[in-house]
Amino acid sequence: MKKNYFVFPETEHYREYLGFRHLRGQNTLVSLAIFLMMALTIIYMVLSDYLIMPIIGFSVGYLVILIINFATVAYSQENYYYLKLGKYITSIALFTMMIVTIIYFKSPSFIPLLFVAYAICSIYKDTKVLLWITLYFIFAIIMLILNFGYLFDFQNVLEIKDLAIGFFVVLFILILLLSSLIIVKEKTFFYNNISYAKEKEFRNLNLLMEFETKNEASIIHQKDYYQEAKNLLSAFAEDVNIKDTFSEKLDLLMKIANNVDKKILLKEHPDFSNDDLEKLEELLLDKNSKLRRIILKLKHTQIKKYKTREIFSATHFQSFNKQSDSIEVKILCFVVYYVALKKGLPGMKPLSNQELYDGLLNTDLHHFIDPKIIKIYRENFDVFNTIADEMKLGGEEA
Amino acid sequence: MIKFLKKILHSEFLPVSEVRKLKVHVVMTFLFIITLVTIPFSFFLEYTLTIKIASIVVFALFYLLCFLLVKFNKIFTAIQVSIIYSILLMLFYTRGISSFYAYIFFYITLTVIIFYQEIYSYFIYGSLTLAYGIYYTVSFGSGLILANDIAGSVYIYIAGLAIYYLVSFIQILNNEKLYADLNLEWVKINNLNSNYQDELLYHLEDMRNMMKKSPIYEDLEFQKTAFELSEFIAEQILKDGKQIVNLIDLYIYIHEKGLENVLKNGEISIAMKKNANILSRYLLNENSDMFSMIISFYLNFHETEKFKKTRYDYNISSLSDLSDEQIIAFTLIYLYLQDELLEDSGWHSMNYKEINLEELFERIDLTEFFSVSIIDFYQSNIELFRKTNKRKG
Repeated sequence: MKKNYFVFPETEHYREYLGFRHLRGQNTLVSLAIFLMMALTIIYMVLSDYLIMPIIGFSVGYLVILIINFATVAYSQENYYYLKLGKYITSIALFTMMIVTIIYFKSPSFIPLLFVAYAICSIYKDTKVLLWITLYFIFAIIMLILNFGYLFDFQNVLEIKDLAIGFFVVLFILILLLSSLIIVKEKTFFYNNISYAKEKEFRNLNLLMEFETKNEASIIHQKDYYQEAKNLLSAFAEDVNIKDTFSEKLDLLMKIANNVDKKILLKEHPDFSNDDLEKLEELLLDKNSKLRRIILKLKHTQIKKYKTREIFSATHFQSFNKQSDSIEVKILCFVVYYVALKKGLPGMKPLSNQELYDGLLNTDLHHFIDPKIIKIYRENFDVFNTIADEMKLGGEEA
Repeated sequence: MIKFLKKILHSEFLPVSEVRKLKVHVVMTFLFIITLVTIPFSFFLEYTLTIKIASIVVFALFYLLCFLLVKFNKIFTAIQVSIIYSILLMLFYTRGISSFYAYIFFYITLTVIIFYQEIYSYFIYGSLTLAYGIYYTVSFGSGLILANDIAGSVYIYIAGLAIYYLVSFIQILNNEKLYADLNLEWVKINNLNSNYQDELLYHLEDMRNMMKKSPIYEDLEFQKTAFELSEFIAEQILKDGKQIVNLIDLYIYIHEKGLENVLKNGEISIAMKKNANILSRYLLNENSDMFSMIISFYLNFHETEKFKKTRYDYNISSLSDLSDEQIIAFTLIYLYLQDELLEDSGWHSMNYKEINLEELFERIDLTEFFSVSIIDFYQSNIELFRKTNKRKG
């Protein structure tokens, strides 16, 4: 199996979608903060009687950042990736603007604006943005110390000035980076789990449909439903005095369900094209149709009501590496999990040694097992195989 | 150290409670470094030797307190203590010298408070830090400015701190809302998945009965393999593997007798009952975490359709954009579900005979499945649909 980061490779798409879904809101906050910075800079320059040209210069600088920001949001309607591009450009441009401000005013009082810029950019909650701006931050500080050393010639001179600058700035950047990184990871935790749960839902529904189809007692009687729907909807069309467009489509569905050849259908129903028939197929109450999946979801949605006030409950987090569990419980969980998968549950295919190895070690699943246990498994793969291979397999009948 | 950094880098796989603990560890590491550096730095601060020594002792005590609180899992208290600790450090530096380096401590303290992402803590401690920062800048600003600095530079320092405070506050509020929304979405899908798994468990049991097989936990080969592998792992991690054998015995016993009976049994020790409670989350014959993770693993090897944008769209408008076809889809769903209510198939987790379809439709948000026009169609023609009800009388 190809080395995958996610248990279900499809989760990557939904994670990305979640990221984009929230990026617009984050982008609005960043734009507002930049606008606030622009307003304050202009107010300060006007009150301090600066010439009109520098005021226009700074205004244009901020406006260019805002325009780029708005443009990427507008283009993101066409392609989401413009939003991604927008956050990188905005972050770098904002930092550049701050450095220009410090150099222009030649005052250390503007240096804390670099911290403000960092806080603004961290609204994006993006690891790449954080790493870029951290590097830029370090570059900016080194550049200021080397080329604009006079910015640090305070009236109250400390004997160990250079050491103090180096230490506290590095410390501040480190704590800022680590705290922002963990906050980003908190968001990723939810993105991971939601996208995982979404994909699991999709696959659970598929498995349910498969099981229901295996169980003859629950096989649906398709013909009856199409006929019943036809009766109901032609009565409706008659009631409200509209053209009955339903009956022919339901007749067609009935024929498609009975595997009537498409060529015959097209001949018998000349108003319908091949595309129309393909679209109609989506409405089949077939064992694997999308309509069937919608019905299954609808059916289960109403069974249990979720508690809206359930907050960050640990019970929702499934793992064999819970801090509250002893190492003995963790070992037991892993072993039972491994042996059950190897043996296979009724109706389920027992998994091969290689499939188990790939699933446990080459996906993010290994994060949910104690590292000591997973290390033993990795290093003693052959021992595990030898012990487990002696067991008679269960699962699906051959 | 590498283990610690790895934990930070992979913290997206940790639950919120563990991330909170990790945050305290990160803050404690930083406070430890600052405290250590404070010892040589204190020579340059304007304090008497007694105050310097007393302060270092107080910091050491705070650090010890924080350490003990984490050890005894009192994370919320540890958070408060670590915040107060960072405020004390800030006060120590800012009262000791009027300098740009002391001024950075306002940002360091705010960053520590922001890090915990607790609104009330930030509002209280953050506002106090900001207020003191403004006071400090106005009163002791001379050490922050150059000899020929620009006009109003003190106010720029204040503005910088205030904007940092404000932006961080907005970020915390935004995160709070974001996490609450994401959490709700997650809980919703998890509950649905739990419902599906109830049904899957029912089908698996059904299949097992049809195949005339005994439950997996009763299978002697399964038990033997589990014992051997557990002992093999335990011998490498623990001193001896005896305890794990007892635990597996208990695990199988819970499956056979049921958790309630185990807990009621007077002959079983309190420690064993405590373990039984923990193990109940991992049973094989219930819709437990173990069952859920087995299903997930199995699903990974189950063939699935190629990813399409509409993969998770369960609205009938994703089937067709024509309103008559959507009406057909709705009608088919209605008729099918109505029959399901009459049959025993499906609905294993509910008392289906007590409920009719209208009531069920009232309970859920129909907009997730149908467009507004289709819901209107249903509501305007409800009498027509009632006529198809096979459970009359």
